[in-house]
Amino acid sequence: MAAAVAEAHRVLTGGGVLLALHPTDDRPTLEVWHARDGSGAVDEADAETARRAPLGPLNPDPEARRDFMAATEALAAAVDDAEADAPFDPAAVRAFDYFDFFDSLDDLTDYLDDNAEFARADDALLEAAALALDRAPGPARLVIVQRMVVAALQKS
Amino acid sequence: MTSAARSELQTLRGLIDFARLRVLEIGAGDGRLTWPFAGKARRWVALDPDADELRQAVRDRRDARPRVRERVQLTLGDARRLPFPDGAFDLAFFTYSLC
Repeated sequence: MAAAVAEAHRVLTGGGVLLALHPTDDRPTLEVWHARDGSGAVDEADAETARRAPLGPLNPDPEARRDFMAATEALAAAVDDAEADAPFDPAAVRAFDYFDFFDSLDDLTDYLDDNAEFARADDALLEAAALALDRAPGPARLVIVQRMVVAALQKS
Repeated sequence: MTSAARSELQTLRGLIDFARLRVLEIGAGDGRLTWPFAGKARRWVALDPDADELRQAVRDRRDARPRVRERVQLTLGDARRLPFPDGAFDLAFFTYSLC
């Protein structure tokens, strides 16, 4: 990672900006969403208005989680005058939630099978998800919520 | 064409104005974050080490608007050995690729 940051520093013009977008090391969580009036399928535009029920955390892959932490550390090192060979100044940081939507438990488990390097769900969580879908008063969707961060650094 | 998430687009638009910048996107993958922003940039190089991902980006490029297509250069490459001269870009954008 340090090599990639140093290369970015090299190809940037003076005062250029390094922008890095990646997940935080927070555990992703599973929620079930449905419209408050019980009608229509919800999507990301309904994040503020949908009825959202947290079901519990997923189990992130330890290696992926270490990578996320290492990315944050690499950016911190790049703005540390004592440590950085290719220094940057901190400019801005924003965090946000990234949502992945699933219409059924099968869709969710297929996704987790295909992306085992991202996260896994234990049986209790999957049972809770199935129950939540069954009990929803209208169309409902399962949602993985992952906290993300985007950091901007300026070439010193 | 895969699409970026609304929260992701809103956050990036609130943080950076890509207008007239020379942008190097590192880890561009299939171009999911390339197509929404490249039209504003002066030049946009989308770099990825995965040839399969870039092939998908080439396919998706056909659906992009002409002014976006003409600004985007898709390049196979490694973030640790960037095939560009010093000072070639105004913005280096790591998209899920620093981890």
